[in-house]
Amino acid sequence: MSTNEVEAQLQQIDQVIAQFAAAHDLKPTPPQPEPAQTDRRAFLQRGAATAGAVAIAGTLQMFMARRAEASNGNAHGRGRVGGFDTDIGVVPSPYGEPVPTLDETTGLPLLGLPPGFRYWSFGWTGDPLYPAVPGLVTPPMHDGMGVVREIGPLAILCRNHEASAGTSFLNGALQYSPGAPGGNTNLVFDRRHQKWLLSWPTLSGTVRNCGGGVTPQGTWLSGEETLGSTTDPADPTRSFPHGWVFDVPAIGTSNGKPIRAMGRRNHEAAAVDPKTGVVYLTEDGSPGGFYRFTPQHRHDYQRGGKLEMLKVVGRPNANLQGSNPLGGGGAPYPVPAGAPLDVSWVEIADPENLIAASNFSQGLAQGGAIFRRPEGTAYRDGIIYFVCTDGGRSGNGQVFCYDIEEQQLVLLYDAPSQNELDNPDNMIVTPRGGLLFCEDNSGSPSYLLNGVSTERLVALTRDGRIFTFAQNLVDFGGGTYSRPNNAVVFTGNQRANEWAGACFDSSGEWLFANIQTPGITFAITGPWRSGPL
Amino acid sequence: MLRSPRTRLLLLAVAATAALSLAMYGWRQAEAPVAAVAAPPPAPSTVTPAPATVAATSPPSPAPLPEGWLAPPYSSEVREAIDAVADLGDPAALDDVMELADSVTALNAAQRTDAAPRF
Repeated sequence: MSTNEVEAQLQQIDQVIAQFAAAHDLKPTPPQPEPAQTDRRAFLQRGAATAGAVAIAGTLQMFMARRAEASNGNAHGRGRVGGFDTDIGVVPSPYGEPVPTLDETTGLPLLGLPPGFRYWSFGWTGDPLYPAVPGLVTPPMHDGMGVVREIGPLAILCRNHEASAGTSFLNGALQYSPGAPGGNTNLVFDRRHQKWLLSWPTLSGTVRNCGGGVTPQGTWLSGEETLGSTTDPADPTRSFPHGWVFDVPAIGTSNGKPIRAMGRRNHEAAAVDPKTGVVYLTEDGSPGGFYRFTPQHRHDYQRGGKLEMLKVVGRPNANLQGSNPLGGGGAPYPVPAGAPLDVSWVEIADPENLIAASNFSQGLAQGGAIFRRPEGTAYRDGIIYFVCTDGGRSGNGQVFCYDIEEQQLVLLYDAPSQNELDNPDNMIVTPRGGLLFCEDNSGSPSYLLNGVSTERLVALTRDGRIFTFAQNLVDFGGGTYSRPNNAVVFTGNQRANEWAGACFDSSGEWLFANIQTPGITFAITGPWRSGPL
Repeated sequence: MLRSPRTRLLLLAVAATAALSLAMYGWRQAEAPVAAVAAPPPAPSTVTPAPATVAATSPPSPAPLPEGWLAPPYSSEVREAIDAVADLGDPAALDDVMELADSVTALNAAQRTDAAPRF
């Protein structure tokens, strides 16, 4: 089918949609402002405006992408990967350039956001948790986060805390080790009244809960990024190995039991294929691997399952770290963006083993592929996206796509410079089909905004536009900031600290995100539909 | 008018998607939270000791709850969560929020009966 034929059929579809809208007395929405775009995109926009349903535009756009891919005789299509154009360039934000914006809760200018966007902060480090008990406060180092359940206007989120030094912030059934300070807290936000309501502890006694992922059954997989062990301060003979994934519920608390079958390693994030229940897992290692876990029972990971590591067919131990001089693992395997690699999976027979053979070394011995710090990952429409934080030609990050059905891996994007993308960590697919990255350059000199190192939320659209959506402007200067019922005194410039935990609610109207240090959670809303995210 | 069975099938599928999308769109319009552009942001507070204040909005009056729903002594935060859902008139949502309310209230009760900070 030629492009002309496809577009002719889409014109017919436009007519069908228009007839449907007329028959049901549906009024079109105002045209959505868009920057310069191809004729095809403009065509699709007209179709969307006819029926007033942006969702339809997404469907048709996906259809167009798939038809174009198919016509090229390639699973990914020439110049397109996972529905994304590989000809990527920096553009001004379609939403407008970020400007310092006041927090609706505190009145402080904590974030740079496009005009028209607003946000509410909550759950700062040291804020009281629920129930109100002396000493029970929000742990530090907010990290991965997801919307795990919605009840009417209430959004329930599960938030990781990447703390590594200290003891458990809460004892009890939700605790794994008494000697570990990390864990999870859940939060409730009332979207209707634009108000945070409460936060309570859901997992304690873990170490460096970094990334994670929402499961189809409405729980949160919380990954420990460590290979260490802790001991019980009251009984040093009791040792607790770490490096596990925990399943945290939306309501109530976890049982504090690790999912041992998912393996023991430097876990980062997880993305679940809702069709099969297979969990895809990243390993924040230099080098690190990309894994999948096929559970025995898709709603109960404690029943075990099969852990495997990705391997490139015909290229044992393919080094996909790029030409980053920091990369190890032998000569880099040159992979141009858009070139699909057939992959297979090798089993990690002993996933709990760390001493004799780590998960990575078991996979490596069978030809597993080598990445540099795989971190954030997300699922959408049969594709698993994941980033390698400091992989690639400049060491500023790569974005890979794995086509589940085709079993092909493709490099979508290789950041050429810090200005374009500076070490992506957590990532999501946005409601309108873009990718949103949380920058984390681990405190080294980062992207400079007016001469000041500043971490950003950076977006990549399906038509290859990359832009800054938001900026971390948390800077207390030489002063201090104190909060009611909170012993923490906030001070200093925090703008170079990482974003984390970006996630949307199901309406696509609310983005939630964290600034890891000093540890703040935000609910952000605005005219999302005026742009591609 | 439609040229081929393939085309008809395609159009049927897209029309079905359109109908579903429009229905979802309508639902979302009804359910979507207000994307808030009306009220101006508060004046910036100074960085040096400026106690944060929560800008409270006035929720609409909730519908009365069935008798017996509020048996435990729910805290003000939990009561707000219940109120936010109660006026939807959705029994399933009400069940869910009561599950949430009871779970966190149970944490509170456990805390009160235990001297050490534990649940």
